Amino acid sequence: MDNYPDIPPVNTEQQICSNCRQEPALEGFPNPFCEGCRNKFIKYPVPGWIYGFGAIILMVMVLSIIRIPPYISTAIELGKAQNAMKAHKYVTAQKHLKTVLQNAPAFANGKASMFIASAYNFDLEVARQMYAEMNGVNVDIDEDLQTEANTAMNYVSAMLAYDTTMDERLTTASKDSTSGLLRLYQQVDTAYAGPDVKLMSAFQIANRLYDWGNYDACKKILTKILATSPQHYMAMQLMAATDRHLQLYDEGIAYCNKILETNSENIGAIFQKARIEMLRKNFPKAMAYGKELAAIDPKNIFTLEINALSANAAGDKGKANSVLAQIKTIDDSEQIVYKRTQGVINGTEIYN
Amino acid sequence: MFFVPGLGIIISIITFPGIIVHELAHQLFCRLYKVPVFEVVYFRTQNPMGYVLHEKPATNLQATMISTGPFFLNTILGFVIAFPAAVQYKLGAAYPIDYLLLYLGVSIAMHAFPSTGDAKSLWEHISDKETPLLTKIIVTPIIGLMYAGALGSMVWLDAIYGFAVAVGLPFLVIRLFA
Repeated sequence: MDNYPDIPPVNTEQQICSNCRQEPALEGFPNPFCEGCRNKFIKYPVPGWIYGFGAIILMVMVLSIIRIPPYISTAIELGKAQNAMKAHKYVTAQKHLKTVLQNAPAFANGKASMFIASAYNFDLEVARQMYAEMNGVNVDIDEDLQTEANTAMNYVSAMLAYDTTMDERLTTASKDSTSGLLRLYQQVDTAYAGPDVKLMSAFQIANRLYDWGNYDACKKILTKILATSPQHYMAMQLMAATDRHLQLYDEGIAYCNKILETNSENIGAIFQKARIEMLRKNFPKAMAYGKELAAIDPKNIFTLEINALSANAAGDKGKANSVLAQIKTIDDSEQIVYKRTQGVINGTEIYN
Repeated sequence: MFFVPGLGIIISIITFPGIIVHELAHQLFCRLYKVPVFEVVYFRTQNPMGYVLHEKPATNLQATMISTGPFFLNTILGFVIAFPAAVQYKLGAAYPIDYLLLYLGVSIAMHAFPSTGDAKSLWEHISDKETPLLTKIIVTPIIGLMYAGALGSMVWLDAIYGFAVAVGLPFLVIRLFA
């Protein structure tokens, strides 16, 4: 609050300072003060305890500022992660969140965000770790994040509902080929009570049919799965690949786009689109997808595969072989990716 | 909760650092514009909880700046003090010292709004017949805002502002760099 005091009338005859009553008052001011008194009032002293108060605040600030630099970079990383999550770019978000949690390991909202990002990236190891760290512990998580984490949990849990006996049953059914699998599917379709287990078991059968090249039967089962659970990620992924084999390219692309609505950095979906464009001989578009993949994760094996095949299609054998060599070093799928890429580059296999 | 008798005084006592900074800002702006100061009360436990008695400023600009000075100083200081603590709080890495800084930041920022006394003295200054019409047109809305801000404290606008500056603004700034 600032106030003006009641000013005594100026005695123009005296022109004497109303404070010291000795020196002549300066003219042109509301109050008749001499120069010395005016300066004294202008520099009205700030008491010592105010300086002390300021010094304490300053000291506390300095202590805090000394500790702040790593936290500022961490906060910026968090901001980047949040921006990426808003854009459904979960690979980018996960990268930034990794840095955030390295510097602030107790950060509950960071863990929740990491759970969401890793769930949508199907990085189940990290998702499980985050879940374990948050579960049963009294942590303060933002309500919106909590809701988002629950949605991510539902999205990913459908993929984890395995019937542990299914692998064995699939092997037994496989002995008499497709008809055995279809019989097994009929059992699955009627026997299971839990919808997630039923859908996952059906998916496993469809996957086996895909491996055998029976794409029509595979598509039928996948269609049923997606009719029950339209967001079933793995079914959509396999459906896109099946449509590619059936030359239903637009349908395949549509499934990829649907996956990308949830996670616009889903490497599998972008990879699938690139493969479809290569089959359409639309190499510039395939290369564009390759660049998109390289921007997300340059060392991912699917990124390397598309880039090797794009280089090969563009006639750049040197680059194709160089990328192929990289694939060989990182391929942990019994060299399946390496072999199929090598076959196409050497001309011994047709790309499909 | 909005109109608990005496609660305002209790809150003001708890957030006394903001009142001290508010009055200090008036004093510093007086010094900046070479306006003599006759008395300063930085804090007391009765209304008004602090005040600065000074000579009538020579110009409207000076009067406006002296009246609104605390708004700028308290806002900037509240933000700067709370910034490191707010970042650490956001990351779940806050120490007791950070809670102290957050308290100081919020306390200082929530006393940024000029009081009705500040608005009244500015109004007295520009209501002279000699004040040009254009000045009145420019300054009157500022006085209106000052009254609105001061009255808004009845619905905790000052506290909301304090938290926004000390806790919310640092996150917004960080997001700009993200």
